Amino acid sequence: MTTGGPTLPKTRLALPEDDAALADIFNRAHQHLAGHVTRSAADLSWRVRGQPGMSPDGAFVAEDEDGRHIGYAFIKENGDVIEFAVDPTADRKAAASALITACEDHATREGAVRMRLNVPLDDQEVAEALSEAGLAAARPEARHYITAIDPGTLLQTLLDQLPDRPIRFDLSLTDSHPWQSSTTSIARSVAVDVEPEFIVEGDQRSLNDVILGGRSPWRALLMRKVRVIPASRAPRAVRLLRRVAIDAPWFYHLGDIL
Amino acid sequence: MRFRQITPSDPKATKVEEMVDSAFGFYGAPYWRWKYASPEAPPGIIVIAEADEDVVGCSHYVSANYHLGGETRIEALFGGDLLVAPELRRQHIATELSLRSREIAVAQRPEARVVTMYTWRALGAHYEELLGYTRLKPGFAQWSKRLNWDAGVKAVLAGNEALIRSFPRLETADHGFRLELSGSPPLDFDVGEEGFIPGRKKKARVTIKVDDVGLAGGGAKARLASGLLKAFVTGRIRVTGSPRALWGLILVRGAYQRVLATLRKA
Repeated sequence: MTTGGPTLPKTRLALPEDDAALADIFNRAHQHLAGHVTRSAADLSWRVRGQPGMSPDGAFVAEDEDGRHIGYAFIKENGDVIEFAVDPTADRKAAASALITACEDHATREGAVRMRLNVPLDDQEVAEALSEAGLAAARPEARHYITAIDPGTLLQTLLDQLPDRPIRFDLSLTDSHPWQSSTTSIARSVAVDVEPEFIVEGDQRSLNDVILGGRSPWRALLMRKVRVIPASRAPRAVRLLRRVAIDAPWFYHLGDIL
Repeated sequence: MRFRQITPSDPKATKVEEMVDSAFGFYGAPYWRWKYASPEAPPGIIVIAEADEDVVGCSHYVSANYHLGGETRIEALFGGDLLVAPELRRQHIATELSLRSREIAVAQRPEARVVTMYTWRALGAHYEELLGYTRLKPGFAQWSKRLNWDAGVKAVLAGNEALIRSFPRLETADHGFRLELSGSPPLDFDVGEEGFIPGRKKKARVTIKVDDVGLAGGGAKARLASGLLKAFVTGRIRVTGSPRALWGLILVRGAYQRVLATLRKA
């Protein structure tokens, strides 16, 4: 007698010739996240397949009924799933279930005492699949730290990636290090002889918090961590900072923590 | 003290590799060679601190082009593998090494806009305070599952039965104990003068919920030693059947620490 559960997609070993398709899945699945390196086939070859403890029989790809790649997982001999991605357009829960089953079988055979992997907090479908497979989530740990090498240059780089916004302002760093400019003129799409509209002033950590750490610019202003001169330009400065600030959740796989 | 950049083929690189291997164990020398010396790896930056020609510290950076959501990209330096010789620690050499190595790395990679690192909270607080780093809110959770549970964990516990049994005051305890370790089947014991006996028949029960992070980081031990009440209030410790079980837990908390410490090694 057979039981009536849903049929999971089939999995097989992922071969190097699959890597271009796997990198494409990774990049689409992680489009809304921050803090990872965009994958290419060559990158998968070194970053994932080349890691110590990673063997070819720990690489799995899930396929749908038409043989299309819908997800993949790389698990090391110690049970660390160093990369795990599911196609955003596929039946993600089913693909995740198939892949985690393949990983668990492999890790059990290898004698690992624990299997673990990182999953974005907003990925409910994969979370459900893992929960049903008996995995449990630990409390998220904040152990990733970041600093701008030079906040002015960083702001300029981020502004340059916006499609519009002609504006000029100065950024004044109150605790600059030897490798930083204390004042940076942020000029974009305007002549350099145009007077700055305003000055944003703050210390390194406060500016990091606003530009990279997802902290509210308004809150930074109210707490007097960041100043806008003249104060009447604060709404415009806040709108600008909000546009360039990194608000995507930071995510990295176990294999990304080099 | 002198700070300078070396390549993986530099004679001093052997000493760096040894330092990393002795400090990081499983993630030691093979990882160091993979990250910094394999031909496919992006060029890394290795900075050493030297005193009297001896390598007394090292710091490393890897270049990466980070995706920041949407179409935004940025060049970054990922810092890590920062070490100081054990006999020279607590002399602020790591702080000096962090600053000087970052200067060298920034000069080497002028296109980089941010420096990131992944580290322990205690060290991270140091970086926040002294070097202006910001701690990022985590965008993920780590999921885990214990495997080969019966063969692995129970065997370790069984091997330590004598230690557990010799703990004083166990004869005063009389309750069942269920350990709910996240990602694992529950473990049941009867606690009494015979020690922690696998299987549970006693009605009064103490349940302790521990996640993998708490167990690995020693949090469970700390909670039992100093935060027993807090754990009880927050629901990580539950007592059913009889309040005496809680008193029993308090009396034999040292034995509980021993059990959890043993599991941590599994």
